[in-house]
Amino acid sequence: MGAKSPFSHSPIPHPHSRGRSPKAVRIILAGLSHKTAPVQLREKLALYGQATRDALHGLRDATRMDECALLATCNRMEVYGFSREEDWQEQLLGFLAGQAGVLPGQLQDHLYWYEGGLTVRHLFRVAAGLDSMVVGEGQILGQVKEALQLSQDAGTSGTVVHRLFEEAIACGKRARTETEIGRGAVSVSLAAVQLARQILGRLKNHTVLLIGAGDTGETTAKMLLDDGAAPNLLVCNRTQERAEALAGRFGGSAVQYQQVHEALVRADIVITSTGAPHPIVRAETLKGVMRARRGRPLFLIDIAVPRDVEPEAGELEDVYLYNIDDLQEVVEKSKAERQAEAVRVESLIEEDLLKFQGWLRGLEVGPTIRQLQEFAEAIVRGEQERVGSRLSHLSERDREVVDTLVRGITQKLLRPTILHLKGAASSGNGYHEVESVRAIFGLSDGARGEAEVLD
Amino acid sequence: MTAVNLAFLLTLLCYFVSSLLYHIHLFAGSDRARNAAPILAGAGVLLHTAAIGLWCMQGGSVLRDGGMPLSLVAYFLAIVQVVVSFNPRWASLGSLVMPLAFIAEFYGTWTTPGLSEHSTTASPLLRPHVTVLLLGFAAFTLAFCLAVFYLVESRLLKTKHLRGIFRRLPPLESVGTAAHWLAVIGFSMLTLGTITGAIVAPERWGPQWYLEPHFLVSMVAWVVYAAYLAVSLLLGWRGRRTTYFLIAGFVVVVVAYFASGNPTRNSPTGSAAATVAVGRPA
Repeated sequence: MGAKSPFSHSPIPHPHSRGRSPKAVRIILAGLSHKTAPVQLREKLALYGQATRDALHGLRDATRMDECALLATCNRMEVYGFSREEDWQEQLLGFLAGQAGVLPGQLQDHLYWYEGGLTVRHLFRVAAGLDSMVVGEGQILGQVKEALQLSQDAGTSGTVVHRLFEEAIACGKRARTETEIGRGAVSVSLAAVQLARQILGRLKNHTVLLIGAGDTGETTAKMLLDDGAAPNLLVCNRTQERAEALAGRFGGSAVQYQQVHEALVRADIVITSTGAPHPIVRAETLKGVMRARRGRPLFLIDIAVPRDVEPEAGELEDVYLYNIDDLQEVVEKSKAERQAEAVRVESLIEEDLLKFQGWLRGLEVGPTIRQLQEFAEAIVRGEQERVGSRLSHLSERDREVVDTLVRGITQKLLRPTILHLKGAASSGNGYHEVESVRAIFGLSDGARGEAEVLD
Repeated sequence: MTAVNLAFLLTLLCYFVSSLLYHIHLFAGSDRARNAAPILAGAGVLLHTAAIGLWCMQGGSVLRDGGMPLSLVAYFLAIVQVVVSFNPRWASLGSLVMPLAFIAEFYGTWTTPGLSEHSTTASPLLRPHVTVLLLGFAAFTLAFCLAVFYLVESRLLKTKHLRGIFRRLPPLESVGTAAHWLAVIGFSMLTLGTITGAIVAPERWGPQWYLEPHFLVSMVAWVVYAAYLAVSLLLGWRGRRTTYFLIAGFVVVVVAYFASGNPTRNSPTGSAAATVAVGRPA
C-alpha cells in the first residue's frame, strides 16, 4: 500500500512514474488551460451542455473513476475525479486525446496533473479567479457551479467531488467578498460602465447616449445592458443604418446624426467611440448644450482614438470628461490592486484547504471507526445469544445490568483505539493507522466506504 | 448618576464611536468598521429612545426643555443613518451625519438645565408647530450632508480621483436627488411650522411678533430654500450650483435656531414654561 499522505503536495510531472497500491483512492486532476495550451488545442476540447454530460458518461466508463466532473470553459478543460485506479493518468490522457481527436503524444506536454491537496488547492484557486486570464474575474465562479450541476445531472459526482466543488464555490465567493480581488474594472469598456454606475447608480430609468456604432460601442452597449438594469439607450452614428441595427439589437432607439445636440441635452451619460479622425463633440457645442441642460451635469466617456470630444470640453462647469487614457489608468490600477489582493486570497485558500482536509480526514477514519463499533457490537450480541439460555433465571433488571456492564467494558476497550485513530487523522497519519487497526481487528475491506483511503 | 443621565451619556458614547467607525470606513476602506458602525448607531438609537422615554416619564418635554429639541434632531438623524446603512454604498454618509448627530446630542443634553413645569394652557398648536420644525431641521441637516457629499464627489470626478474614498461614496446623481427631496420635505415642514407659529405667536410676543430675531432669521432660511426650489423645480436647475443653496440654507437654519439663545424657551412653545431644575440629563 502506498505510504503517501492524502495531501502530498507534489505535482505529478509524468504519467509513468509511480508505483502505488491498486487500492489507493485519491482526488485527481488532469487539465490544460490558457497557460499551458494554445487556443487551437483548447478549442478542440471545448464542451457545452449536453456534450459535457455525454463526455462525463464516457469519462466514467473509460477511466472507471468513482466520481468525476469536467470544468470546461473557453480557457480551460479540467477533469476532476476520485479514482482508485493506479493508471489513472494514462486513462485520462487517452480519454482527453480521444475527445480532442489528437494523438496522446500531442496532448501530453500541454497537460498538468495533480492529486490530493494540490488538486483541491488548484480548484480553489481557479474558483477564486487566481488562475484566470484576468485575475479575479467573476465568470469562472459561475462556470464552476455549472460544472458541478452538470456532473450531478450526469450522475457522476458523489460525496467527495460534490463537496470539493461546493467548497471551491464557497472559497471563490469568500475571496470576492472578503478581499478586493474582484473589484475594479479590468477593461476600458467595463471601466466606462462602472464609472456610469458610480455616477448614476442604477442605470435603469437613465438615458445613455452612445455615439458610434462600431465594435467598441457594441461591447460597451452590451456591458451596459448585461446586469439587467437596462438604461434607455440612444445610439447615434454617422451611418443611420448601423445606428438602427445596434439600437435594435439592444432595445434602444437610433438618433439621427444631425440631432446629436438634442440627444446630448437629453442624455444622462454619453459614451463616444466613433472612428472619426477629428473631434465630433466640440467644446463650443457643449457650451450650448450645458446652457440647455441648466446645470444638469453631463458625463462624457470618450473611448475613441483619436478622441471624439475636444479636451477643452472637460474644463466646462458641470462637464465631466474621461478619455481612454483616464480609463486605461483606472484599468491598470485595478489590475495592480487585484495582483496585490492575490496574496490575501492565497491565504484564504490555505484556510479553506485546511478545512477541506479536516473533512476528508474525517472521511478517512470515520468508516473504520464505525466498522470497529459494529464489530464490537456484533461480538456482544453473539455472546449474549450464546449465554442467553444460562441467564434466563435473571430478572429483566438484572439482565439490563449485565448488558450495560458488557457494553461498558467493550466501549472502554475500544476507546483508546478510536481516540488514537482520530488523533492520527488530525495529524495526517490516519491512513497508516487505519491500515494497522484494520489488520489487528481483522476488519474486512468490503465495508471501508468509498472515501476511506485517500491519496 | 440617575438612569436618565446614564442613558443620555451612553447614547453620546455610541454616537461618538459610531462616528469614528464611519470615518474609518470612509477613509481606510474598512469593511469591519462599516459593519460595526450601524450597530453602534443602532445601539445609540435604542439608548436614546430609552433616555427620551425616561425624560418624558419624569415629567420633562423633549419639545421645550432646554436643548432637548436638538437632542430630538440628533435622534432623527441617527435613525435615518441606521436605515440607510443597510445599503453599503450609503453607509459612508454616516461620516458626516453621525458627527452632526453627536454634536447635536452633546449640545442638547449639555444645555438642558433640568426638567420644566409646563403650562397646560398653551395653544394646542404648539406641539405640532415644534414637531414639524424639528423634522424640517433634521431634513435640512441631511440635505446639507448630502450637498457636501455631492460637492466632494463632483470634485473627485472632475479631478479624476477615482480611487480611495470615491469608491465608497454613493452614486453622485442619487446623492443629488436625495438632497433635493430632503430639501423639499424640509421646506414643507418649515412652511407648516411658520404658519402654525404665526397663529400662536401673538400669545407670546403680541402684535410685533414678526420682529422677533429668530423669526426673522427663520424667514431668511425660508427664502433661501424657496429660492432653491424655484431654480430647481421651476427652472430645472440641477448640479453643483444648486447644492450651494442647500449649504447656505442649513447655515441660516442653524443661525435661526441659536438666534435668540434658547429658541424653544423664547418661542411660543416655551412661552408659558416656568423652568424648575430638578436634574440634568448629562
